[in-house]
Amino acid sequence: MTGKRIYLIFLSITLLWNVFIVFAPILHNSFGILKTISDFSYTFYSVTCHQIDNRSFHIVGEKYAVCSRCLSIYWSFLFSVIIYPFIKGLNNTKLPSLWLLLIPGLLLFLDAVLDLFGIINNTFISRSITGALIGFILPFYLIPGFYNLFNELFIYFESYKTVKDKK
Amino acid sequence: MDKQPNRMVPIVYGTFVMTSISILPFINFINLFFCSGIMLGGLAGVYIYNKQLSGTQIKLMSKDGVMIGILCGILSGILVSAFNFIFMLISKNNPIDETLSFLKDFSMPPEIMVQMNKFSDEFNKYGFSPTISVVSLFSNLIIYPLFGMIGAVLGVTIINKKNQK
Repeated sequence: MTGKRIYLIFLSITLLWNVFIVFAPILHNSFGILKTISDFSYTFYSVTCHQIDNRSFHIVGEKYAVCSRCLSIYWSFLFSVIIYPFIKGLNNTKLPSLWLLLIPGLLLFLDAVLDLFGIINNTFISRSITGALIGFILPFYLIPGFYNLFNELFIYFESYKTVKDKK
Repeated sequence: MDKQPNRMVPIVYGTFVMTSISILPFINFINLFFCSGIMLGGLAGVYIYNKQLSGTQIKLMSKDGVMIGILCGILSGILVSAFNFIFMLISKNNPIDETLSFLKDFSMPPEIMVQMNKFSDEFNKYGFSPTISVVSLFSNLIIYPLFGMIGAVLGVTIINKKNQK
């Protein structure tokens, strides 16, 4: 399977995930099926996010389907996926240093934990920056992983097909 | 040629990690950070599977890792939904009422409050909310396998990078 196809599958899933985060507030004041899509989006993302109103960004007077931190993660993830081919190419399987994943993860953890224990209160800016950092770095580990996965699956199904044809 | 190890053990471990993190109070806050708890479960499954592979000639493959992550996610999604359902049934208090009292400090849109009151009525009528149960099972069956798979892919790429060194 070509790197381009694998990349497009990855990009489509990421886009779909982000679209419903934006659709939820935009369709919130509509009727019928659109309103159902909005309600379902809010419920769907509630599994992954607290969705607290005063910790969320708003659009057209309604909060997004996820909080400011999650929104930063997902949008920077999408941005990173879009620019990925220009930085690493489509057939890359090499990973960056693990420190590049651990440092933003640690910053995000500290931002949340220090606030939870009342040591340093986090802000919209700190939540957005720490979220955006981890969201930006994750595709550099996930896309090579998915590239390997799709190629392994492709080889597996091809060999299965060859064996079946021989029989 | 080495025999492929049984994948049941890593799936059980991964499911245990995912489910424990999701149902234990306070610890389940981890899932609010990009579903880290679910990803950790997928990662744990892959780690155990990699341990089983040590001493054999079999290489850790992404497809095996992803399969472990997805299966852990499906099992954990069902278990977490079942646990929440049982918790709703045995709980004497109406959890929606408790949530509503907690949310008093936050400014919630009136539409959300209308929905919450609807769920609260369902609790008072049946002892659980059919709407919440069905929607949460459906969401869990998408989100748990998805993030379990992401955790497993991360696990495989990281472990293979370490193995190459």
